[in-house]
Amino acid sequence: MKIYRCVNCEESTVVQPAVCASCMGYEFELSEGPAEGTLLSFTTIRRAPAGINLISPYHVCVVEMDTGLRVTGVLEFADKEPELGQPVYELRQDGTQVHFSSSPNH
Amino acid sequence: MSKVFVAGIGSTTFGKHDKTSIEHLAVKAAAFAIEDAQVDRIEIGALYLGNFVSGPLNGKEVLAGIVADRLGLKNIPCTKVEGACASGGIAFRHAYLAVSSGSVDAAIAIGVETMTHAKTPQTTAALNCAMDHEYDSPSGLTFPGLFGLAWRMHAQRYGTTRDEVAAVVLKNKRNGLRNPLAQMGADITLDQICASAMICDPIQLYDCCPTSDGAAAVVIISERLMRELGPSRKAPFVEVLSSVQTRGSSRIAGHRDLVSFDATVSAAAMALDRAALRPAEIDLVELHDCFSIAEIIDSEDLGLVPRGQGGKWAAEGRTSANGDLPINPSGGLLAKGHPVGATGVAQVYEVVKQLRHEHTNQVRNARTGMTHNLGGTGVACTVSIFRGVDT
Repeated sequence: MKIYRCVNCEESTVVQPAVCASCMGYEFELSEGPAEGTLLSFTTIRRAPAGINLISPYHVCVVEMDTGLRVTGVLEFADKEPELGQPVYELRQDGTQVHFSSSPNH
Repeated sequence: MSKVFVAGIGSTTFGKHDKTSIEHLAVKAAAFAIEDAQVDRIEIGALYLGNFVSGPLNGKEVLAGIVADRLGLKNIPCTKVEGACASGGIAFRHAYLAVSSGSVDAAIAIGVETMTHAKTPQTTAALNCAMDHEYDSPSGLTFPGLFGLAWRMHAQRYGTTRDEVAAVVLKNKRNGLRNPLAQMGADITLDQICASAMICDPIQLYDCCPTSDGAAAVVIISERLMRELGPSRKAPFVEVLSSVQTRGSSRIAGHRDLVSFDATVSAAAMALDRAALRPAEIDLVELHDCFSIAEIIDSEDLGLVPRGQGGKWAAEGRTSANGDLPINPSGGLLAKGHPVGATGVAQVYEVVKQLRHEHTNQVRNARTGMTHNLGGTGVACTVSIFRGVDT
């Protein structure tokens, strides 16, 4: 997952900011690597909004990374329905759309 | 800040008005409010109009000036405000500020929306304009989806059940039957709710408010004008004790907790403080139940119900019109309807009716009331507090 980290205060975001909302800094470092976090919640969208590159039904989740950074992403079930609080693993990233899986071996 | 009073209220019915233009709906509601206020139009020094999606759905903007033109108002500042579902509440607060600051002696707040003429994908796309397109939209999230996320977490943390959430729907639908302005009052059963289509798990069709057309308006005045008008009035005045607007995170992932909206928590705390009231002194609340679970979360965020107990209070009947804390005796957004830009002003209309003791679903001995209007993914919020004036 691509993460932008403010050089001045280390605040991290998944979208490149124009300015750091935490310290008003202008310089960001881009890092990229596998990501995993905790599943805070998820829902199943039965009717997709216009223009989205996903076919309903699909699952949307909020994930908290170890650094505390939270990400709204797409969740893919490995087999059974996942439980809140379980670990989830980044599968891939399409622009700012991050896909997570409920299994490390998806 | 000087004292501010609601002198007049007006509203159209909520529902399908697809043969009426958005300007006409707004003008009608405003004319009712001016007539009810018994204020000469010449006294109105500012107009604020709340609207969210007239641009994309009607191709019409600058509605504030157009509506003032149709009402024959004088050359006054006319401002349209937008804060998604909180547009109406924000319009009301701006009118309140104009009067409480002493800038004008009377102001009118109008809220209006027309939606039912549009096809569902067009409406969904328009409403999705209120989402953070950099951070949340890429995931395919929708507004029912946001509340699906919140419900699942509320259920896990507090044990809130499907039946408890359904109690909110049953109550508001029944309240709606007692409100002549309501679009979808109904005497439905738990089985009907549980059998309705799944929208965004665990949110089902009956957990969602309908799309609606409608308008509401409120005329507010200074203490000086109130004293001048006082002797000839039929309807009692209602004092605006406080009106607060706050901002929360624009991103879902920016909320500290998925089952609480910071903007609501801070707005309620400030509004109560400025009104010098405790939560227990609020006799009724009209709050933002865009989805059934939203009423539960809002009631807790406002500090009116203990955290995690919102579902239980609904199931025990404590939030019914004759309960400990009547919530949405109007039927709320779930039954009354949600013409987005109109909602925040319509909530003021409902609370004023209650405090004048002339509501068709009257809360007994209501002296104080609160309104709560929430926009976007919790990015904008208004809370206002009112008290009936003894005459």
